Order: sequence, then structure tokens, then C-alpha cells
Amino acid sequence: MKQEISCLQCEDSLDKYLDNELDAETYLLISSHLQVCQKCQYAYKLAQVIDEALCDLPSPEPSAKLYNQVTDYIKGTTDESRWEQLTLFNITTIHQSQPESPKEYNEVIDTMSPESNWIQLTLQDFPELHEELINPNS
Amino acid sequence: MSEDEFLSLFNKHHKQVYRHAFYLLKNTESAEDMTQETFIKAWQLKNELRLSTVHSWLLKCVQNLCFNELKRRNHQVYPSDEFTDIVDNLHHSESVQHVQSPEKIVCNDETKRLVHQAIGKLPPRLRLIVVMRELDDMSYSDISEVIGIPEGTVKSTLYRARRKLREILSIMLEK
Repeated sequence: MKQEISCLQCEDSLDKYLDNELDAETYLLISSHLQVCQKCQYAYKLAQVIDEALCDLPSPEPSAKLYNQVTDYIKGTTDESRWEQLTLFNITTIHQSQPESPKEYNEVIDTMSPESNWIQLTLQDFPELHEELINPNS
Repeated sequence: MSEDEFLSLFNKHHKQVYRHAFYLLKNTESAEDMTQETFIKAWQLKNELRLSTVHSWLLKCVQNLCFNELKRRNHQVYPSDEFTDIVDNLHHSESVQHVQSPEKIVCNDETKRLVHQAIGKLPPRLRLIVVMRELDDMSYSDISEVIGIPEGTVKSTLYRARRKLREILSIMLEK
């Protein structure tokens, strides 16, 4: 007796049929069903179209902003950057403590060890501020 | 992991991480936010992450962030769905051609565009698995590792996604 399958069974197996993942017997049953059933032929056509379109999916790309934001964050958390932030904080601290002589200035620096060398190095980049801190009364 | 090593990791994987976020959230700005958050988390854990598993970690991380965002959206006004617009732009087709009648349907640019739009109508998890398999060309085993479901379930989910796409496409073609 010839075996037949229903539309539901055919529909369930269409993608496996397309992918060649069915056993020979089921494959033949689907092929026979597709020859006589218009509704399943249409579903098969759709499955083929979808299969082809999926091989060519759009690939949206992020903007350059993403790269900048991530790199800014990373650079903002490196040791070097922390030194810079610390140094700026210390400059503010020196300003607030208002040293009135080079001696007092050095004392303020000493309270902020071990970063004091960095502060002095960075202060070279701010000659006016450096001068003011060294000679506050000038 | 040094800064240079991390940036090279970012350059290698950020587009894929972004694609996953975009296909899940369907909004470019939210996708960039989630991608950024993923890499910031990775940077914070740079000493614990292993290079051999970092790819899978990044995809899991962005996926979790996006699903949390989708849950949050259920309770709030959420960013606009840009999926159709972005897909249309990527197709570079300004004019919409006529699709053939269902009986004569063939795969041309217009039907492809409709299929790609139909992907935006799939539930997020199905959409993600389709993207991983079809766009990223990931193996069933790798998808299984990232999503945390058995390989067999990945396969059956993909078949379910394709079947669902047929239903959506069929409705779109009837309109």
C-alpha cells in the first residue's frame, strides 16, 4: 500500500527537506506530496526564498562614536590617566592650602607623597602656577 | 590584559556584539549603549577573563544586557523600532518594487527585503539564534554554549524560526 503524508507533516519537514536532512523514505514522501499539493508547493517556494534571503542578512555597523567612547573610558582608567587626575587634584589642594613660602610649599608637597615628584613634573607644564606656588608673595 | 590587547579584542569583536544588540533591540542607539556597556564590563574584568573564552563571554554579556533591557521596556516607553528603516537602508533600494503573486514568487531583492523585515517580527530569542547561525556562521555547538541550551534545541529552534518566517512572509505577501 502506498504511504502518504498530510500537509501538516509536509509543512513540518519542509526545512529539513531543503537542508537534505531527511531519511530517503521521508524525502520521497515529501517529494511526492509536493507534486500534487499546491498549498505545500507554495510553502516550499517560501521556504526556498527564506533560505536564500537568510544567506544574505543585512549587517548593520556601529558608528565611530562607539569606538571613541570605549577607548576614552579605557584610557580614563589607566595608571597614567589616574596619575594625571591625581596630579590635578593635588594642584587644587596646593592652591587651597595657600603656601606662603617655598618652605610651606614643600611641606604641602611632602604631605602628598609619594606623588610629589609627579606634581612637580606636571607643574613644569604650568609655569605661571609653578612660579606662583614657589613664590606666592611675588 | 594590556590596553593594546584589549583594544585589539574590541576591534575584533565589537561589530558582532553590536549586531547582536541591534537585532535584539532593533534600535541603533540602544545597541551602541549595550555594546559599550559590554566592553566596559569586560575591561573591568580584564584580569579575570581568559582569551580562549572571551568571545563567548562577550556575546553572553551583551545578550543578558539586551534581555534585561527588553524586560525593562515592558514597563516603560522604549526607543523607536528602527529595524525596518535600517534594513531598507542596507538594501539600498529606495523604490519599492512589486512583489510577484504568491504562486510565482521568486527570490529577488524585494522578496529578500521582505524576508529581512520579517526577521524583525520574530520573537527576540529566535531572531538572535537566526543571526548567530546565518549571519555569524556560528556552529550549533558555539550557539549552544552562548545561549545555554542543548545543541538539539538550537537546531529545532532554527527550524521553528524558519517556519515562523514562512507564516510572517505569507501574511506580508497577501497584503
